[in-house]
Amino acid sequence: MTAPDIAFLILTSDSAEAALLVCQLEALYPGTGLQLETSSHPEDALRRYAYRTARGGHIPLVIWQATTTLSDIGFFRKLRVLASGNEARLMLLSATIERHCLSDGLADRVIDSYLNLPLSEHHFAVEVKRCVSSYFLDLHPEVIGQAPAFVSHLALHKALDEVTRSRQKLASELRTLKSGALLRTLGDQSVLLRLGTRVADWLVHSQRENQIESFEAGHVVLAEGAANDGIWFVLEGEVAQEKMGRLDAAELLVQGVGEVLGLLSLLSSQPAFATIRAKTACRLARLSRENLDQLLSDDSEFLVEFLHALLCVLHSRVTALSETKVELQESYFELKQTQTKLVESEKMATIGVLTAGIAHELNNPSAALARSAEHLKSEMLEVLERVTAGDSAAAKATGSGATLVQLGLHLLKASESSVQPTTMVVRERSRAIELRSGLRPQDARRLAEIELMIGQDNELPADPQEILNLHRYLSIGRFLSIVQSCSQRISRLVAGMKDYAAAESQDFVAVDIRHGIQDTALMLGSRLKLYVFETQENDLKNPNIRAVPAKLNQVWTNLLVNACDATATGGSIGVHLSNERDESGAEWVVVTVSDSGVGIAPEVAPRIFEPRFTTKTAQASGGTATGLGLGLAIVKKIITDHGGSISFRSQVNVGTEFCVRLRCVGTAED
Amino acid sequence: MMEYTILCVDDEREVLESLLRDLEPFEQAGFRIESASSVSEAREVVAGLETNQLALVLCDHLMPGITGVEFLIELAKNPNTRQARKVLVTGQAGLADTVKAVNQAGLDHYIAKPWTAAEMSKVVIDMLTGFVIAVDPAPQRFAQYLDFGRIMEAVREREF
Repeated sequence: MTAPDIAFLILTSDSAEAALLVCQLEALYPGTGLQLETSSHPEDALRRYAYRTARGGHIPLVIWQATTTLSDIGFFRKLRVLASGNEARLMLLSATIERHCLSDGLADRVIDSYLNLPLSEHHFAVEVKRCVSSYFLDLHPEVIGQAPAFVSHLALHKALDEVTRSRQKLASELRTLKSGALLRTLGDQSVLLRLGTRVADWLVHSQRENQIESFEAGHVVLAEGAANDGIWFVLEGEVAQEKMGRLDAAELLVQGVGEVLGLLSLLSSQPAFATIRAKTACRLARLSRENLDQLLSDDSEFLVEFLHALLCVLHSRVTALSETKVELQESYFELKQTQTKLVESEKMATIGVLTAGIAHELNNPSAALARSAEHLKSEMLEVLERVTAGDSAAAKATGSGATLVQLGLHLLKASESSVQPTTMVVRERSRAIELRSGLRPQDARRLAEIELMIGQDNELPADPQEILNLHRYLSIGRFLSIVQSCSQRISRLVAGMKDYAAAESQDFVAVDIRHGIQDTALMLGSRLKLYVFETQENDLKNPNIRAVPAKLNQVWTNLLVNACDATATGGSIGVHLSNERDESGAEWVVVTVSDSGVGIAPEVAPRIFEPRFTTKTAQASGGTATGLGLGLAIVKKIITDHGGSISFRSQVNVGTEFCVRLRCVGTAED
Repeated sequence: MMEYTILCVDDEREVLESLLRDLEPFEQAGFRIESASSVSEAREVVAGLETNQLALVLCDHLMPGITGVEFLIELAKNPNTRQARKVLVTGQAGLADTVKAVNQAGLDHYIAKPWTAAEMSKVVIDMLTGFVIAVDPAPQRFAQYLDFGRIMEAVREREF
């Protein structure tokens, strides 16, 4: 390879200056074979330039040294026109130059470099190198290898940096383009179709036609759990993937022409995840692992397509899976809710049956108890009447006061009275007697009780022993009364329980809404006792509704228990009943359950009817009594089933009011 | 000599009367038995007593407006009644209430309704014995009515 012909052209009218420039330039590029042509006339210089460049020579630099004041740069303009490709870098050296001349030259890119005379050797060297480097780098990089000395290291570095940067930029643009292109085509089944055809062609071409098989509908191509060492391409027909569940096989997906089967199990070396069964008559092309390897090595383009197909399959599977997952979650949630409802209604039914049973079992003994106490009392009175019959005669005869037994009989009868002196009254009387008579406290108390029962008018004993004996009659009477009143209470409770649970009936019947509320309040008596509990029924003119009584009782129970849970001991809980008419004139019963409790925070208010939403956590209640979060959800469901509505108002730390509306039947007169 | 008081609190008259009957033997031992059908009445009774005069409280749990546990806590905080033995008589106190009573009111015993006379008697003897040993300068005067062995042992230890 011959060294390129490289020359600098110097135009100056001063030959001494020309020699000096030649010396300096030779020193800048020693041993490069650089030729330096000097000329003293512009026309001559232009000719030389044309001559050299026409022969393929390079003239990277033309230096024009102007000795007089320069008012025209016509030489450079002509040079530019001559070297139509803006080839050489043009350097102007001058002592004085008209401003417009210089600025025009620079603006028109006619002058590449300008240096003032007298020349600074250093600046001259730098400028020359810059100009020459840029000539080769920008215009003739192909020559650099043959004339490396003409390109300065600095310029080379800069240029290389530039190249690297643009290459990186290009690469990243390419990546973006590629990935975008892939994503755009992922859903494209034609890729798969093409691939299937390609595989079939290859199989035929390589005498492997036996790998293309036709199957009858129902034929199992690959059984779930079997080892798999190949993939299939569906050429015709449809196949189904089935997964064996606990009871039955479930069809996972149906795949048609162009789909790939067995890819995932082959790649992961896992047994087949699902059974592949021909859904219709179908034709499949099979690629065993070896054949796949063979095909990949035979056909380099196949790899790209195969990878693309793989991505397509994965993409569609992932999409399908995530959809399935969402569906599954939804059905699971629904199932869970149904189960909760079932469990809850089952529980209520069981409780109802148990309650009815218990009520029945309790009813008999409590009835017997009540009757026995009454009988006992009448027997007792009968006996005492007979005993005292003689006494009264004797007393009449002697004119003396009543005997102890007579007084006792009197006490026994009096003790039946339901009006009993309060403990406070007894205590006061007892203190008074203590002070008056000096009796021991217990004797004073007994005497006080006797006095309060039958009055002081009777002649009462003063001796403690006699007081004790007389008091026994009172005690007998009192205890018999207690047996009676308590067994009555049990009977009332039992009746309430039976009404409350009414387990057998899930039917709508006409009922008085008050009864269910009264029964519920009775059942919750011990809890409500801690509060100021009041039921207001005065505004209710028509209490008649159609309802499933047991269900409605669940509503009142939940609302009242919630009120108790929300309210501190001693607070107030109220039930208010009234009627109202809607626009259509229909009559409704409005039941308001209010409490003076903690209230419902505004942020949880929208959620309170949600199933499993609860604020009665173990933490909130100090470790016990946790809520399932079902109460209000069930309440709402029951009210809705009854064609009614429920709403609430609440203010934190003031109280809550739940308002239930149920449609009336009949009129107030019913 | 101090006359000690046993206080029974229950809002149900029937229960209160039955309880009083079961406690009658202790009147023989010199204890005054007071009954109150509400907590506010019980507070009045307590207000009329001197320091350490209240020996034992038998209190129902669920009563109108206030729980027995809350009243027992009041008594535990009151220096005049701190020494009194505190017994809850109820069928309705839940675990949380009972734990609270033990921790905050120094609940000494818990009698579930319905109780038997024997059980009640045993608990009351036990409670009163502990009380007189802790409070009374000459507990031996109660020895024949209460836990004889424990009282005499305490007296001997005291002399020693």
